[in-house]
Amino acid sequence: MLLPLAGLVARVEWDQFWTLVTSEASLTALGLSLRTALAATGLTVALGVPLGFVLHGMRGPARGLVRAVVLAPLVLPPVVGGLALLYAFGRRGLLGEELGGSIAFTTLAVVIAQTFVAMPFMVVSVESALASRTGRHEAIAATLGASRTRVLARVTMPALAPALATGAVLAFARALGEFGATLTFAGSLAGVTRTAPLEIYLARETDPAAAAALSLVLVAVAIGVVALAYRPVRGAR
Amino acid sequence: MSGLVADLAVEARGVAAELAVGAGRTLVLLGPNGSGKSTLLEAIAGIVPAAGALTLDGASLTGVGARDRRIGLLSQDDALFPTMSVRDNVAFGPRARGASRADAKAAAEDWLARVGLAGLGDRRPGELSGGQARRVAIARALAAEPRVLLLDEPFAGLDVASASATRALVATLLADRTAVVTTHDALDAHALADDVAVMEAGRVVEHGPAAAVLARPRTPFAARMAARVLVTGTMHGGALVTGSGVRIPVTGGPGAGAAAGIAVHPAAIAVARDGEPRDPARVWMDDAVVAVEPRGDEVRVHGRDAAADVDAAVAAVLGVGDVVGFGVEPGAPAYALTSGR
Repeated sequence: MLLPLAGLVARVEWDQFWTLVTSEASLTALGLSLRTALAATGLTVALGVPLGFVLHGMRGPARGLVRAVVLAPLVLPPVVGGLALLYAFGRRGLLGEELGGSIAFTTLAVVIAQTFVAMPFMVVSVESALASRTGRHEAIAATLGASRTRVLARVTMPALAPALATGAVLAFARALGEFGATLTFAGSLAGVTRTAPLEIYLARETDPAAAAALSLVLVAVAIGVVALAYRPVRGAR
Repeated sequence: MSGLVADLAVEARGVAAELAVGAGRTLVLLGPNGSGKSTLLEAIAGIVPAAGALTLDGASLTGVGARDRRIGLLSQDDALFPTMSVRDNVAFGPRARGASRADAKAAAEDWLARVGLAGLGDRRPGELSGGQARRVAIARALAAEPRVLLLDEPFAGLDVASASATRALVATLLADRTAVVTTHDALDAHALADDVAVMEAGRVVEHGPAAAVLARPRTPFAARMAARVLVTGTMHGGALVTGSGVRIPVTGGPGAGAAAGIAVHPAAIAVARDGEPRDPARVWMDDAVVAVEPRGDEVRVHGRDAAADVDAAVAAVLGVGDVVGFGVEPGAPAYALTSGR
């Protein structure tokens, strides 16, 4: 586990580290990565939470099927995911006409690609958190006169908060590291779609030192994020 | 009639029971664990789907959702909302019914004070003791101003001191309130009940005023729940003659030939082992030990027909299957067993 990390650290040229990380190309790529990953996380919450509820509410074989489809991006090769997105949203894709031209190779495409691959984390988090609830608190809340909306907002959602946080952090980390689907669906346009992983891949040939430095930044972010996500959940029984 | 009338069936859990509580009265529903008491309460509260009829003050609640029934349920697990402060838990009902934030908070503080927990509003449910959590749950249920309050084993799982403190609190709070309290402890029935119903395997087998059900149970099961031993037989000239021919002089009772019974507290029954001298002042019935049940510093010896509370030292020499005699003092009041409720 540690060996690749050690290899990476060994390759970083520390006297140049700061200059390399703050070079214009690196900063642009990092900034784009942060913005798109945050947007993708937002979308993941907005779409993944309802999807988790729907999945939890389903019964029978349909549930397994829908779950498999929703979780597919988790096991799909990212390039295949990118191709699929291209055929759906690209200029000649299914929705190309309706969307008034192509959204492929735009920043929006980056966000969509990241959301696509990060969504399963949120859906799984929400669904398993819901599965572990007995419905007891919701039932008692109803006897106290609460409407369905109030029960959801005041009882169910607060109880899901830890699962939501975990799902969001994991989704963010996955979005930040997205490479294959982004490259296929959004390309590698500096400042528009070239996120940090793409920048690293590109720099690998021409400027290995810069690639190593930028990689280390992503490693630090990834480790930080996972440490944050796996804090033990406290309180709720 | 005014009050609550339920005739409900929850097929999946084998419950089909009828009960009625007059307005302002407290019904104690006695039954062992697993007899369906909780299910019946949940069906009345509307959180478990049930077939049948339910009316409150003459209006049908069939098809009315839990939210609009205004029937409060205090469940055994308290079910306090762990993500809210104690105050917000209690204020939940008033808020749900449309009270302003300030009014709901005031109501919550008022109820916390009434259950003796003033000043604990900022705590989280996880920071409370078992007794405190139970009190918060009671305050939360009552703050929602229910028309009927259902309490499921409200003293279970509490230590002796907080159970008796909570029992006294509940007795005060239930005055003039329509309520159903489930318990497997006859003590709760004596302390709280206006009326008593006895539940066995999903059915209500006995139902009536507390004094009648507790002092004159009509089935051995109801007698056991009321912590009494029911001795049954036929009246013959001022005596009860049991099935095995033992003649117990009694007072009162129906006319000759009628089926009758006496309900005796196990503490008032003596035990003699086979061959031991038997007190001639008592009437003795031959029996065999079925079970020996420790109860604090006493032991209840169960036979086929009777039971007796004896000192632990006496019970130590008794084993299941031993032949014993149960001695009853003559003169217990007899009552007819064939009449209706």
